[in-house]
Amino acid sequence: MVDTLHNKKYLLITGASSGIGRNISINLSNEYNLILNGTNEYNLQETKRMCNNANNHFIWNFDLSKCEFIENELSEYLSKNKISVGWFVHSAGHMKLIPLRILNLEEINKALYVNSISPTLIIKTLMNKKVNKNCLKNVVFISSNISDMGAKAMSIYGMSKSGLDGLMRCLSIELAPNIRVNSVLPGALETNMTKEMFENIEIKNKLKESYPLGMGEMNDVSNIVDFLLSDKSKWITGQKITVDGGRTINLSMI
Amino acid sequence: MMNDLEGKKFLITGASSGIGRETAKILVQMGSIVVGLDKDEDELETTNQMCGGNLTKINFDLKNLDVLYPTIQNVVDKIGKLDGVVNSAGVSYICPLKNINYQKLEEVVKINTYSAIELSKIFSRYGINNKGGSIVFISSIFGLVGTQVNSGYSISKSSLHGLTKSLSIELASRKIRVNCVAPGFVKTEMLHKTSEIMGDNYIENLNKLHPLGLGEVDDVANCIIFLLSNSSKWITGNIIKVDGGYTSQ
Repeated sequence: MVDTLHNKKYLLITGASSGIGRNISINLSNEYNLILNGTNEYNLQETKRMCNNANNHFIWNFDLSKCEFIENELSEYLSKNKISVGWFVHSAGHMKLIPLRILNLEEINKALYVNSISPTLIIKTLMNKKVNKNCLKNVVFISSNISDMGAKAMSIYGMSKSGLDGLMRCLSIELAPNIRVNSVLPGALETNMTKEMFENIEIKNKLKESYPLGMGEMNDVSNIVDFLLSDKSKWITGQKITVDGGRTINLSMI
Repeated sequence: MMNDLEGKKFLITGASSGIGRETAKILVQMGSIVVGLDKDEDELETTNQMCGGNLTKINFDLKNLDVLYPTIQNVVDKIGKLDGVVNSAGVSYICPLKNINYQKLEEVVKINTYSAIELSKIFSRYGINNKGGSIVFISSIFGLVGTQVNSGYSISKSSLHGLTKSLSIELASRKIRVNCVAPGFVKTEMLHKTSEIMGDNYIENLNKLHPLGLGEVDDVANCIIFLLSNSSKWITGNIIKVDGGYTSQ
């Protein structure tokens, strides 16, 4: 079975254990062969099981916060399985509401390593000719509509996502014309990552009121990711596309 | 993605050329019912031919905005309520500041900006939209960045960005989304006219400045169509630049 998959190009998706990453994986699993990355083996297997053509997909169980090992680990993984990556979707994300006074370096690093630094090193690895043979064509970051906006207790998450979008813009120029790089900026969706936030009834109700089009769903994100990965968007690069029901341009509330 | 377009009804202004024409073509291919509005009767018929004769044509000059509503209501009476509108009609206005003529500017703003407002007004009326829908404006990267001798055009286009944001909030409760596509340098008649004014090597130099080269009409049309479809149902108030990375550097 593995032999027929050699020389095929794969779509690497991080954060595939749950939430938006899992949803994107399932929705793309017909059209793409996937490498599902995450840290929870059970959940990764579950994602794979929920995908179409389950046997076509690989699982790469690796903790992206271990940034010093990313380049070696990813290179070895691709080499061992004799596969290359044509598309990269970075959906792994770490978010915690932390007011400034209790911030510490450990929390800052957690957010920056997973959200901003790991995708940098992954793309560097995928641009290594020996490792990935010039196969990379398209990158989509799942950023957040917090990028460019302000909110309490979000300084580190905001920093990491603005940083991610800054990375996106520069790489879109550096890697043109062969590789397109864009960001999707979702609004708040109820997932594992945002569970704590949504458990607070007051926050949840305020959220609902502040979205002009109401709350969204994960398919809203995977639809634009699908569009950005496809040829239909072949002239779009370096862009941030907000998917949040109009939340961040709405000041007519609260 | 985008598999909800069959049978849906869309109105496109500026359907006789460029981006409007290509959008109409692709929508018809995807099974949508398309109404094309333009003042150029002959070119509108050419678009109709490209759509296999399936285009509903409205021959209309957007200078006459006060009679646009009955014209559109007439068509809606015949084919049913609309699911979306695309404001693709537009004129250029290349002119150094010292020569800007307010009468001419008013004409440009009327076509590029007022018609967008009027179209939105009409679409949002009870009996015209099909319980909500999608409005797409076509602006330009020159609503966002600067260049020589283009201030008149940039006024008319950047105003669409403010309009997009305001209307997206105002019309949200009626389930109408409002977004804007800002194209960069696309190979169209308008660019061809510009290159004739600007002289030799204009297009060649432009191409070099683009990370992804100059664009094609379908690059913009595909983004418009994504915004018309239900695949973008949580996207509103956006200005999406389709410009080969030109403004990202």
